[in-house]
Amino acid sequence: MKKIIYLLSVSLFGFALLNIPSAFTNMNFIHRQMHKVLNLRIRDSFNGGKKLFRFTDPLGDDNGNGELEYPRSELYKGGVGLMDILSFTIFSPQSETDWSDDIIYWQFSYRLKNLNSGNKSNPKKSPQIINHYFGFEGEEGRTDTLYPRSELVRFDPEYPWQYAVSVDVNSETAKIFSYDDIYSSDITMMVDKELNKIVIRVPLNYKPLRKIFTNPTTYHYVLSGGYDPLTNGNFLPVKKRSSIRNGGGAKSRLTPKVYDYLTPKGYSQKSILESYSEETFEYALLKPIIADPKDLAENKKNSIPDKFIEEFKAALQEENKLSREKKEREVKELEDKLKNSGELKSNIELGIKYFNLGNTEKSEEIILNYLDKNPEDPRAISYYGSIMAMKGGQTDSLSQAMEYIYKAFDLYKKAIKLVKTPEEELEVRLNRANVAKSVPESVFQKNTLGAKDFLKAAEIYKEIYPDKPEYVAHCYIMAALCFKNAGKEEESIIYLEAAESSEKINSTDRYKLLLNGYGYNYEK
Amino acid sequence: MKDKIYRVISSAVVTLPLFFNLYFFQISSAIGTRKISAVIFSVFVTFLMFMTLYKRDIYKYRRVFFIAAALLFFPSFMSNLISNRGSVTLEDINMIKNEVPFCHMVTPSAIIPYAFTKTLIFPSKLFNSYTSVYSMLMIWLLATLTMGRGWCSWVCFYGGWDELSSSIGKKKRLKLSPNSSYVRYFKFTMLIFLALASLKTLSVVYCEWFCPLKLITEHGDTNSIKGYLQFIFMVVLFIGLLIVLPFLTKKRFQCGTYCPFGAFQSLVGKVSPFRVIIDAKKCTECSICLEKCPTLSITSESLKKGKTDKTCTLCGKCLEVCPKKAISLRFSWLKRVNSLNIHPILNNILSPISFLSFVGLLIGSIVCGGFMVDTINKTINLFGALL
Repeated sequence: MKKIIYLLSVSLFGFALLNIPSAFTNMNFIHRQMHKVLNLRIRDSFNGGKKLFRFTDPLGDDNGNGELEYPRSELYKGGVGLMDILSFTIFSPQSETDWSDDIIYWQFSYRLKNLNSGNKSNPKKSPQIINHYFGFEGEEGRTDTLYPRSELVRFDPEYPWQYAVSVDVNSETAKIFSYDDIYSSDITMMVDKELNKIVIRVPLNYKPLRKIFTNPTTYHYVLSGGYDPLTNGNFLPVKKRSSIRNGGGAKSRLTPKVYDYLTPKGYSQKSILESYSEETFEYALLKPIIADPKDLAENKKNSIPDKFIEEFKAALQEENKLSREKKEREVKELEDKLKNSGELKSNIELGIKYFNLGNTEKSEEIILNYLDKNPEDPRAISYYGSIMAMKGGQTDSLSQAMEYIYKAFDLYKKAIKLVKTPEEELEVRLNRANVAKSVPESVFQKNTLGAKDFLKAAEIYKEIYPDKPEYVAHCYIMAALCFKNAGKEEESIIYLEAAESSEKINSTDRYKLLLNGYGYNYEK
Repeated sequence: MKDKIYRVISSAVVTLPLFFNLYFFQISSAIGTRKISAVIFSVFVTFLMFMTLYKRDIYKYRRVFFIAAALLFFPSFMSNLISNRGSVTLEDINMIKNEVPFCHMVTPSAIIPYAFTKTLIFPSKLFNSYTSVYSMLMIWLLATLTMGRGWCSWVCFYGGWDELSSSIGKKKRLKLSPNSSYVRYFKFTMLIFLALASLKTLSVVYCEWFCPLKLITEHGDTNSIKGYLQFIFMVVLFIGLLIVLPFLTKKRFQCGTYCPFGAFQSLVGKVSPFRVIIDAKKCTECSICLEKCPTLSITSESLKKGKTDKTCTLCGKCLEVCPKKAISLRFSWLKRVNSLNIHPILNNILSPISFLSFVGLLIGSIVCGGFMVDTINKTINLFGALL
C-alpha cells in the first residue's frame, strides 16, 4: 500500500514538473488570467501621471498656412515631418514623485512625426522649436508672443496666456516663463527618439502654478517652427522662397513663422494662420485648445449599436467572396495563358496567385522552381517567407511553428535587402507586415516591425498611386492595429485618425474605424 | 558494475526531458551563430544534469551552473540595455515608458503597497516582454510552488556571485556563527523594514538604496547628491556583500544574512515539496554540516529537530559533507520514506534528488538560459572578429 501511494504521488508530481514548460508556451493566456485576478497597474507617479487629455493634429500638415516649405539646408533635407505635431498630451499633476528629480510637477508630452533630422554629421540633432502657451480660465495674461516679432501670431483675448514653455529640441533644453516676467525656470525635458516624443515636466514649485491641483479648466496653444539661434525668440524666418537660412512659401511679411499649430476642432489651420491683416498690421489670431475636466466624463464611450457589427460582418463577407471569385478567375486565366509556354511550373505570378488563393502547396512548388532559376528575386523570396509563415500557422508542433516563423522573417530580411524598385519594396513590406501582425506578440514581438512596414508601404502607395488614397488609409489602419497589438495605444490612435481623415476609404475599412471608435474588437 | 549501469540508465531517463526542453527553448528558435551557442549551452546543462544524477551529488554540479549563470547573465543584460537604450543608467524617460526590467527582488517590497493602493510601485512593462511583470511573477510562482527557497540556489541569477566569492580559498578569516539569531534573522528585519519603507514612500526603497546588484545591472544617474550617494552605496554593497564578506566568511553572505527576497522566499517557500531531513539515529552531532552550510540554515536547534531551518536553499552542501550520510532530501509528504523496495532504476528516477535537479535546472535554464546563450554568442562573435 505504502509503495503504491509513494509511486502514485511521486508520479503525479513528476507529471506536474514535466508540464512546467507548457506554462511558458501558453504564457500569453496565463498572463491575461493573472491580470484578471491581480488587475495590476503601474503607479501613475512613475509615468508622469494619468493621461488626462490627448489632442491630436492631422498628419502631414506641417506646412503652416498650407504653403510653407522647409528650408533647403541639410538639417531639414532628409527629415519629413520634422515640424509636424501629431499629438499633445496633458497629464495629471504629480506630488508623489518617486525616483524623479522634480518633487512636484505637471507633465506634458508632444509627439512629432519625426525627430531625426537630415544632418549627416549628427542625425540625432533635430532642428525644431516648440512654443507652448497655456493659461487658466478666468485669469489675466498676455495675448502677444513671449518675444516680440517671434512667431508672428497673437492669441485670443478671451484666452490670454499666463505661462509660456519654450522647447528647444536641438539643444534638448526647455524653459518656462510667466506672462508678468516674475517667474522663469529651466524645466526637465526628455526626448524619446524612438517614439518621436518630447516630454517636459513643469515644476510646480512656483505657487500660482499649483492652481492646477484644484482641477481648473486650462487652455493651450502649441506651435512648432524651425530653430534659428540668431532671431528674437529663435523661430526660423519664412520668406517667399526657401533658402538655407529660411523657410519658403510666405505670402506676406505677416505670414506666421509657424509650420504646425495644434488646431482646435471646428477650425482650419490654414484659415487661422492666414487670419493676419496687412491693412491693420495685425498678426494671425490663434484659437486655443481647451482642456476642461468636465469633458473627461463625457468622453466615456457609448455602447456599440448591434447593427454596425452586423453591417460590418456582411460587408466583410461580401468583400471576401468577391475577392475569392476574382482570384480563382485570375488563376485560371493565367494557367490557360501559360499552358503552352512551359512556364506552368515556374511562373512567379502564378505562384503568387496560388498563394493569394490560399493554396500554399501549389504556390510553394512553383515559387521554389522559380527560385532555383532566380535565387535573388526579392518578391519570390518574400512570398516563400510568407509560405513558411503559413506553414508555421498550420503545424501542430510549436517548436516547428517557431522554426518556420523565424525562417520567414529571415527570408523577409533578405528580400528587403534585395529590392530594387518601389513596387518590389511595397510587396515585400506588405508580406512581412501581414505576417508580423498575425503572429502572437507575446512570443515573437513583431507587431512594431509590422506597423513600420505598413507605414513604409503607405509612403510608397502615396508615391506610386497618388490617386488611390484608400490604399494609404488601409495601411494606416493596419499599422494602427499592429501598434495596438504591441501595446502602443498612442501610436495606434494617431494612425487611426490619419486614416479617418483620408478623402477615400474602402467600405470594410470604414466600418473598422467606426467600430474602433466604440472600442469594439472586430479582429476576434 | 550493475549499479553503475542502473545509474546511467536512470540518469539518462531523467536527463532526456530536460534536453528536449533545452532544444525547444534554446536551440530550435536560434539562428546563425546563436544556434552554436545554444547547442553549447544545452550540452553544458545536460551534462551537469546527467552528472548530478549519476554521482548523486547536487552541490557540485548545481554550483557550476549557478556560478556560470551569474557570470554570464550580466554581460548580456548590460549589453542589451546599452544597445536598446544607450546606457545602463536609468533615466526618467525609461520610467515613463515602463522600460525598467522587472526583477524578482522587487516582489516583497511591492506586495504591501499593492494591497493598499492597487498599483504596482515599479515602472515595468506588464505584458509582452520576457522581463515584464507577469512573466517574472509567473516564473516566481512556478519556482516557489516547486522549489520554495530552492530559487536562491538554482534560479537566482545573482546568487552565483557570493557562491563564487565564498568558494575562493579555503581558510575562513571571519567566523559567522549560525547559532547567532542576530546574524540569521537580519534578513527578516531587512524585509520588514523595506516593506514598510516602500509603503511609506510608495517606491521600491530596496532598489533605490539597498540593492548590491545594481553595479552589474542598471542604476540611476549621478546628476544629483542623492544620485552620488546611491552610487556610493551601490559600490560599497556590491564589494562588501558579494565579494569581501563571502570571501572572508566562506558563506553566501548576501543570500544568507542580507537578501530580503531570500527572507520572503523562506516564508512562502514552505509550499515546496522538498525537505532536507536529518536522521537523528545516524547523526553523531559532529557539526560539520552546521559549519559548512553556506546560508546558515543548520543550527544546533535544527539538528535536534532533525531538519534544516526554513531558510534552507536546497543547495545540497550538507548532503555532500555529512560523513555519516545522515542528511537526505525527501518529499514533504513522504518524509519518513527513504527508499522503497522497488527496482533501482525506478527508485533513482523517482527520487527527490532527480526531481529537484530536473526542476532546478529546468527553471534555471529557462530564466537564465537566454542571457547565458547570448553571452556565449557574443564571445564567439568577438573571437571570430579578432581572428
